[in-house]
Amino acid sequence: MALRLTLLALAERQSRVLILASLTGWLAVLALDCMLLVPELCLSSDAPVERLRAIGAFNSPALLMLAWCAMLLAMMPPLLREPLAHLRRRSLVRRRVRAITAFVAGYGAVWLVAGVVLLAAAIATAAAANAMGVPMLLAVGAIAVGWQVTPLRQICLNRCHWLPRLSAFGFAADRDCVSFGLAHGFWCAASCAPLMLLPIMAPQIHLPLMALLSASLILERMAPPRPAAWSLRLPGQSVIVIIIRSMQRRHASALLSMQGPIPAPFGAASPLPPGVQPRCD
Amino acid sequence: MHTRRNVWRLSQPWDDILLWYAKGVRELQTRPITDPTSWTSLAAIHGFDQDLWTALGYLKPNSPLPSDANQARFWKQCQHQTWHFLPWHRGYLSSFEAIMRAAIVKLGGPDDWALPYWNYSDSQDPNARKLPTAFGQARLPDGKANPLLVTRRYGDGTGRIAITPADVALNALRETEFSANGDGGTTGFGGPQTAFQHDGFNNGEIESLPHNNIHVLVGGRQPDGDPQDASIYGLMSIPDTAALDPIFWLHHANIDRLWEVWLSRDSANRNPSDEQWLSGPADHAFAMPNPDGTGRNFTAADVLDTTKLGYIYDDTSDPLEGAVRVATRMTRFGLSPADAANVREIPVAQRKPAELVGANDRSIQIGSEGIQTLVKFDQGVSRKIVDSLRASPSFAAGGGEPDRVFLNLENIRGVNDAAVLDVYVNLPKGARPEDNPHHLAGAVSLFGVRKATRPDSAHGGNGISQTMEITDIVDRLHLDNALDLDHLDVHIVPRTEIRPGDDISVQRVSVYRQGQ
Repeated sequence: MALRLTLLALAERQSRVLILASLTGWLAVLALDCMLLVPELCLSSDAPVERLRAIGAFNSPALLMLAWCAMLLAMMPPLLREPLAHLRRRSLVRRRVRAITAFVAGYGAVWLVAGVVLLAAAIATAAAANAMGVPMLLAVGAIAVGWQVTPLRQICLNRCHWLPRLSAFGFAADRDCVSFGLAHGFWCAASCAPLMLLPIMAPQIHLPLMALLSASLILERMAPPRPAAWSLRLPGQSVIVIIIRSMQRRHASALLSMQGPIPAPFGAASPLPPGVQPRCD
Repeated sequence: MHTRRNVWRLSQPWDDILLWYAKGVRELQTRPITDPTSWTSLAAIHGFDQDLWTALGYLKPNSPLPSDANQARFWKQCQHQTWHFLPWHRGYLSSFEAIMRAAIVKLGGPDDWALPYWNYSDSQDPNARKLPTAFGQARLPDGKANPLLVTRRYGDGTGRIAITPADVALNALRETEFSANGDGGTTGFGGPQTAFQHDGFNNGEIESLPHNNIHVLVGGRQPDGDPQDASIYGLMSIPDTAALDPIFWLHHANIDRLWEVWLSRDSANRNPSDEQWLSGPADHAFAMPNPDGTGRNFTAADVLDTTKLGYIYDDTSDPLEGAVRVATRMTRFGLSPADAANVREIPVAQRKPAELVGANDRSIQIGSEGIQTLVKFDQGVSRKIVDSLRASPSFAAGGGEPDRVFLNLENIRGVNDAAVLDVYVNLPKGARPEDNPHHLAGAVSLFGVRKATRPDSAHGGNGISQTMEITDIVDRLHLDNALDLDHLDVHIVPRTEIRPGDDISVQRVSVYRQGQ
């Protein structure tokens, strides 16, 4: 039962439409992955800058853009449950599609710009790593871990929970939805983009890395805002709490006993693992 | 079995129940905060703010605190704006009562002691809305200081506690659904369904009224001081300090009693059967201390039957005398009581989500003078309301009730938890609000707004939202041919003092319809 409860709670945090959109994105990513030309140079060269430049040289910009969009479609819909529910709830029924379209336009625009910035950052990181003689994966790994633990990232994550006023009518309604998309896209990209250097810089294993990153971002987005502080912010730590609770419950149901008028003491709970904070409101 | 009794039906001021409560409070107050059965640790289960508690003198600088593990397990658990509100507080009170009784017995008191409740909604008792006498006495009969007296109980700023009938209205009892999704329509008797507590920004109906209003009208805040400074607020005004005031427990005993009243007044009123409510929330175990200092976890399913928890209430009679919301409404449209009784309410599970009818055109700041704002309607949607109202006579033939209409104050932000705002709809021009109670949509308390405004709080800085049913007002406007399809006029009138630094804003004022 405990596991079922856990799954129910997790499932409720997602929308079937968004999961379907994400699956479509993953199919597109897989299809485009077969079409993208990754020359042998990219898999074997020790020159990381050359790797990235070669991928650019062997593929058309349109195909690269399509691949980036497919990646966004695969990874981002599960992160958008909260803002899309807000748009749906706070818009006139006849304007809902328009509101969501305006939001997605703003959100997507930010991510398209972020894609260019990320590519430039990838080339710069590769060049710097090469110049310093540091293995490229170590360099991007350090960037990812460094960004993960900063208080600044927690501020970005907190801002992803921001739900602004949405006007109901006319131009103001469109403007509010677009600016919501732009703002949400900015904080989302700021939270995620530095971590996305990892799959970009590792063409050999970029699909598994993307999947791993996507799962961790979904779990992380489900966690509530919290004070900004240096923290490991283990991806999915809220789920770790749930799993621990599930185990406690299973244990408790085996030990269930009555003590006095207060029902069902369940025994002492195990302390939470380091870095895992219970939600307090 | 222990019986919780109405405090105003006890002898005043020092019935034995209250005298032993006072002695028990004093005993728990002698225990260090590292003891899970101490007064301060029990209060910290509801909320804890180390800086604020130190500023208020409830915590000495550098005094030892419980281990991180114990703090993580027990402290800062309070559940608000969620369907977990009632079961969590029931478990909390049950644990407190058991610890208090054990302390009283240790002091030589009765072993059948039970927590009294404060029934401020009792229309038969002219004293009901006054603070029970014992809580204002300086000394106990033996001459010792009275621990039930709290100086940080500012009321209207002068120490006077002014609770109006609107603050203790029991409209929540008329709601037939325990929980709804809080999408602009009803939030249900017990609060909006939340997979995880932090999803919710809307109060359930019983949490909104009378719960929130009693908190802040008792707590209030000092007449001077910086609004940003949390230490100028009364203990009851802020969730992180509320349970330090002994009246908190009598207040929540009454809220817990009203849950029993709601269940018993109509067999159609039922608790959720959803596993996520019965066994949830998924991400955080509810944990309480036992009298011996050990701990236990509990779920809603464990606290549904008060007799299994060892207590009953002396009075769970229905203050609304069986009045059914839909039937009362339909008689307004001229249906006979027999026909009105046939009109059915659409269950939440079969109901369409609430639909936005319209909203005002900009966010508003609430100053000391209050504010008027116009909620513009989408005429296509407002016409649906009118059409449903026009069809009302035919509903006697087994149809559902006409649309219900709700006014929403969305994303209220600010720092003044002690504020109470009276919200009026379509006040006649130049009319004094207090002379027009039939235009009053609701009395909104901002309990919890300070924390909900912080971007790093569980609310993500989105503040709190308040939903008020205005169906009765809309019905009357319709019957008077005064319902405007184009807009609704909303006046927000502060009942308590508002200062510039309070920074109270409402992001949007909107109207939703909830129909078939």
